[in-house]
Amino acid sequence: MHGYTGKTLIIDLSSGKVTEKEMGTQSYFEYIGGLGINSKILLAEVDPSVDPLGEQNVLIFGVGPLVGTLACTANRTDVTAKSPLTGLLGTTNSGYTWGPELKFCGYDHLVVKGKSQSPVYVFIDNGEVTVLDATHLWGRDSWDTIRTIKNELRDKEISVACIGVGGEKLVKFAAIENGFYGAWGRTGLGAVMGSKNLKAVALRGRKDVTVSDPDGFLESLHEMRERIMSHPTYNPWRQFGSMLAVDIYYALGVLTGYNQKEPLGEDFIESMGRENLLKYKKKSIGCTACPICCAHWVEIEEGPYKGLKLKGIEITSTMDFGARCGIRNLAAIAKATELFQKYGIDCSTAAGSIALATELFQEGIITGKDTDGLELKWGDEPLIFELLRKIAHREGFGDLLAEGPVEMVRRIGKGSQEYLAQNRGLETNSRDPRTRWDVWSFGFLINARGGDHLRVQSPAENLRESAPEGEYFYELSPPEKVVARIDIFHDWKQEIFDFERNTVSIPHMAAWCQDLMNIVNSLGICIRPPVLHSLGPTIYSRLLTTLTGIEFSPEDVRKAGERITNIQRVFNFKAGEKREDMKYGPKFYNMPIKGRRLDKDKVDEVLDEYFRVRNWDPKTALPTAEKLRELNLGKLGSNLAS
Amino acid sequence: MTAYLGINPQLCTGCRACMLACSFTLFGVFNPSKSYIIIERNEEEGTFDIKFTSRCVPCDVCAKYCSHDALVYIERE
Ligand code: SF4
Repeated sequence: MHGYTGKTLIIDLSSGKVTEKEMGTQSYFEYIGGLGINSKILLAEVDPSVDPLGEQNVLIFGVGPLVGTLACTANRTDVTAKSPLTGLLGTTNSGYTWGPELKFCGYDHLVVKGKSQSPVYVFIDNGEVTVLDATHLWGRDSWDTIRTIKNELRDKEISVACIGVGGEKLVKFAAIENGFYGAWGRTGLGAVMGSKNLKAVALRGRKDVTVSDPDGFLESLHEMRERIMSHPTYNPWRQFGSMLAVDIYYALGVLTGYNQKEPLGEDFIESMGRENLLKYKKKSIGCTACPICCAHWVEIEEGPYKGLKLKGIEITSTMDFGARCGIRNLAAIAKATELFQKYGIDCSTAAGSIALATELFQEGIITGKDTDGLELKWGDEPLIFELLRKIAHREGFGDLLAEGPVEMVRRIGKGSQEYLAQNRGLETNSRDPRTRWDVWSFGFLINARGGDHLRVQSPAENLRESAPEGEYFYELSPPEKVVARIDIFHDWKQEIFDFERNTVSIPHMAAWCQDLMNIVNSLGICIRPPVLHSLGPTIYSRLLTTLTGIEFSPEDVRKAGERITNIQRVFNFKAGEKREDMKYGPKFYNMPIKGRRLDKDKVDEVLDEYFRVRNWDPKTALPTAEKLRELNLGKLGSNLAS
Repeated sequence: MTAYLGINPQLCTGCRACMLACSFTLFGVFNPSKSYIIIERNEEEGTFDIKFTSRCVPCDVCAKYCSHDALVYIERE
């Protein structure tokens, strides 16, 4: 087998049994790898109604076929399990070196089942699997854990995925840390790892990744490089990374802050805009095989955080602690990064809990009696850092915050529900659906993992202007000559774009984008714009065919993306998500911003049209029997009926 | 004509594209442990050391895939 290793490693922590399973070519053809195969394994192995923190949940790490090769940005690992935060399919993606190392160990997927009696960590040394005692690591932060493991295995190049205290304490949004500075952050899969008493997975591999047609692969690889490196977003991304978008979104007037209570003002962009990054950035850092290298090595040379150095300052943490919680100091974002990385908690939901609590405090719905006497204020750096500590340790008021916003309002009651700025359990990066309605914001309703912004992104966004207020079916298109360069199939382009009216059909484009991002997350490459905007199913099919020797047409690749979307929805349906649960947080319908709020009926009309495009039943949001048959998923249909 | 590899470790981002390119060119497989160029990470310092095994006879492959000019191939008459 080429590209793929063909092997899945299964570790049952209850019995201590370690086994390997061969994955057939048909599975790779139908689900590509990474997220796709993870989703297939989850649906097959886990009853969607299980307790996410019980022994029955499984934790799946998966890398795509391109991972381990020189294909640009081919370093991503998707981690999948049932989420303890949303109750839906949990999936979270991260890059750097861990994924390639799993491949060099001889595996495409690692499935962790059951629960160990006491803390353990797993060391996979080039295919040799050892389960080691981790009692001495329990209670340690992630940086300390990583250092200790590297020391005891006497190799600083070993790649380590681990949990911090947050995962041990089953914080509902605990992250799995990916080395010192990366994380599988979203949907709380660090708590699933903690529930299994698994502290870390350390990897060292020396096996080959082989190629079916080396000349053909190299040719496709060069085309991939050329497309990415000549894309207009390439150079700005090298300089500013994700911080590039802070200024773009601000200029569009779409950002809201303080738990999405009000639009952000000039003070935000002056202190948190991208130019501020350059005060701290010393150099670029890259994930394996990436020509962009979008991450920043930052060093803080003065002020209260003097001496701090790390890889960090991204748009996500800037929006979370800057926009959502009110911090106006980029050096403090670096400090927050150190803390959430060490504690092992997701920055977005941590900030979501803190921001919600702050708004409820200011509204008098909770008081000092609830908060351990703390007076909650916007932008109070020491207070926010103290709350992060309390969350990770589930100490006092932190125990409530550690449940995440949806459970917080359920427990608090007293009308707190109205302040919820989460969509289906997750928060976005503060680009507010009330201030701009587009594919991006519609995506919060259909994203399989809950309502964040990272799984339905458009490769053809017009970020210069927005559609008029009240328009729900369309967003404005980029110029026709820009669209001409984007790899969207002709028949899809005809449904999506209307160049006479300069519009993009949101339901059609959302379906295309959702499938496309499933493909990207299954191949194991990055979703950053220089990649997502410049590539499509055609080049992916060539890379796949030349690498693996399995014949993929562009339509086969697209269809695999669609198949993944369909099985993810089936999992969520079985986990209990109904059509009527596919909605935004109450705040977005009920509290206007700049005089605008979402119209529930109009939103539902777009959703119905999306179901029609998908050939899903609008009442249940489930694929029709015809759609399942078309995707070779006919067997799932009979299951659903029973 | 003599060829040199100019190295600027302070520009290295740690992406290790050079190691993947090296093993693929020499052995037709992707495997950093077979590469003649070695990037060692000092993760908590954000720095990288660029080293070569004694078998490396400078060619331009690693430099070709270095997107941040940490490796530059120089030819002189
Ligand atoms: S673009 Fe950034 S996040 Fe993506 S692979 Fe490259 S360095 Fe990693």
